[in-house]
Amino acid sequence: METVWSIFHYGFFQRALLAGLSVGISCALLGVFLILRKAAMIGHGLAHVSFAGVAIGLSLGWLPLLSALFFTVITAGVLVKIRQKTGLYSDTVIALVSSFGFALGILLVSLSQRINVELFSYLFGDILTISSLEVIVSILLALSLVIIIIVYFREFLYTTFDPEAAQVAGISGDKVELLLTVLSGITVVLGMKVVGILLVVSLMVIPAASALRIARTFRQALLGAVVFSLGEIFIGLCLSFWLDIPAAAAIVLLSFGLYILIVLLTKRSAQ
Amino acid sequence: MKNFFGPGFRRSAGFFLGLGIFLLVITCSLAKTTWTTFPPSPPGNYFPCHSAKKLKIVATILPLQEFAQAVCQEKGEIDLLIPPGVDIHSWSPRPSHLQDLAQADCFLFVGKDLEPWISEIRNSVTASSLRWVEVAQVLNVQKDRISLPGAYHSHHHDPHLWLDFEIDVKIIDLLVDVFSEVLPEEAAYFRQNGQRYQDELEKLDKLYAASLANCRQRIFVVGGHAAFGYLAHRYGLQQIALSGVTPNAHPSTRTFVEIIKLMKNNNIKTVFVDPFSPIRLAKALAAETGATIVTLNPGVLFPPEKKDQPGIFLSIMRENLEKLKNALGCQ
Ligand SMILES: [Zn+2]
Repeated sequence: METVWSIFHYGFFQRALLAGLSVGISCALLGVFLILRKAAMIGHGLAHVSFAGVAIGLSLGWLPLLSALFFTVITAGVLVKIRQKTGLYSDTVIALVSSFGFALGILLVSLSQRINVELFSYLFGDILTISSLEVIVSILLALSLVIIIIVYFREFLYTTFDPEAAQVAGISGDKVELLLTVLSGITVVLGMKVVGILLVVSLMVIPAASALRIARTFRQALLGAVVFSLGEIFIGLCLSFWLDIPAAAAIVLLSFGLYILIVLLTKRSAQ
Repeated sequence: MKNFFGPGFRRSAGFFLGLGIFLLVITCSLAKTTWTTFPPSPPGNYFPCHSAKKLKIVATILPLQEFAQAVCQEKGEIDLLIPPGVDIHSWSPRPSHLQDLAQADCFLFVGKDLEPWISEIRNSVTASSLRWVEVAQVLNVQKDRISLPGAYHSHHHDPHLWLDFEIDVKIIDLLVDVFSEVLPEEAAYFRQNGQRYQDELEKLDKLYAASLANCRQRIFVVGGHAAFGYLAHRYGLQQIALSGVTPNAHPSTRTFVEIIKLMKNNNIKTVFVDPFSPIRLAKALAAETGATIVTLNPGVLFPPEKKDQPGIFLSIMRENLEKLKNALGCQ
């Protein structure tokens, strides 16, 4: 008899799991910082920009993953520079940059009539066609992200919780902001094949928000976010097969349900 | 943490909502202008065929172009509307295309399952003597329409009816009738030309039936959309496709796994794909099953340089037959 675990024998599913879990770690760690810095929407903005990056790659015949990485990282840098130079609110800059990215993407898509089908797999995620190269890039980038966060942990912590003390200690808030934004851009691009451009911000926000509800210390929050994220992506991918539903929907709805549950439970215990 | 849903969040949420509505409005108004600002065709140009004694015909896809060319020979000038190599299911016309249409005598198209935009442009191209020829009218609605092309259900009729050569014969009859109405003095000529092409189609049909009669395997797998339902139906084959009758649908994980299992159980070692479609999914399927990828042409895709080569549809169909025989292990 076929067991429910037979799905793990398939190469495409193993690749989806590996890519999903490494993206999950990156998203969860960044998400905690972004939420605390009230910059959660940056993931959403950069996702729109990555849409243009994918469209560039598809219309020029480059690997969409690489063109999206390149374009999103550059734009993330520009975004931070604009904000720091003009003193605009970051959500204003995000809205500006993301609408630019999306408009550029729409233009490229309309010029090339042949890329529509493949574009869908980036908009909504496509766990069936994650290549080995994409898995390797995801794992390597997730590893480097973890290392960067460990190395610059003090800088991230200070600038997030006490910007003035950070300044006194000689830590450049602008540089940390730039680093975090660029890392978010990379992570968004890695997440798009798993849950799609339209939902990738949820991987950053929901597990981190859940962990922040119940964590007592900052380290607990980081660890909790990673645990939630890994669990939700793993179970979500399995559910997508067992219940025959899209993987992105399974993962996001599962994490959202868990978040609501945690909110309800923590409310009761607070009373 | 508590300020997560504070003013910053509301402000940016509002901004994105506004941006979305703005984009929606722009998209809608653009879509509107495409249809309404179409310039009327110049007067005095409505009956070019009567002065030149040449039919001016526009056909949406290659098979229809070739059928019309075969019937008219030098008495017709046939333009292909959808450029070769473009996905015929997602293509839609621009205003310049409508201008070309307004000057034609006949416009040949398959039907609403392939060209859903026809009903929209019909109102824009009124001031001409253009004949709208929907070739799907030759189908016997009860008997011929195929709505379940693969193993996985879809809500659309299969539009790829030109892959049934008996239906093609009926389409030629229809074209002969329509062209004879426009140019009655050439009716006998059209009939004779049509008959010659119909003979070719009947020969090809017999060749298909004979070649595909004794095969080790009667299932073939398409790593794209289910374009070959009519072909499969006519020769008693079964088509299993990753997507439905249009390329937009994406298979679910479970569908994908079921096709992998089916291929392994039946020892199927070929995944067919369109020559010009993205093949990421087909590649994933082939990698999972150790199969090879072979192109199978639904008859509408061909390199642009071959656009005017006579009989290209028939030669594409002959190539397809060889590939099918190989994949199915036919004697
Ligand atoms: Zn098709």
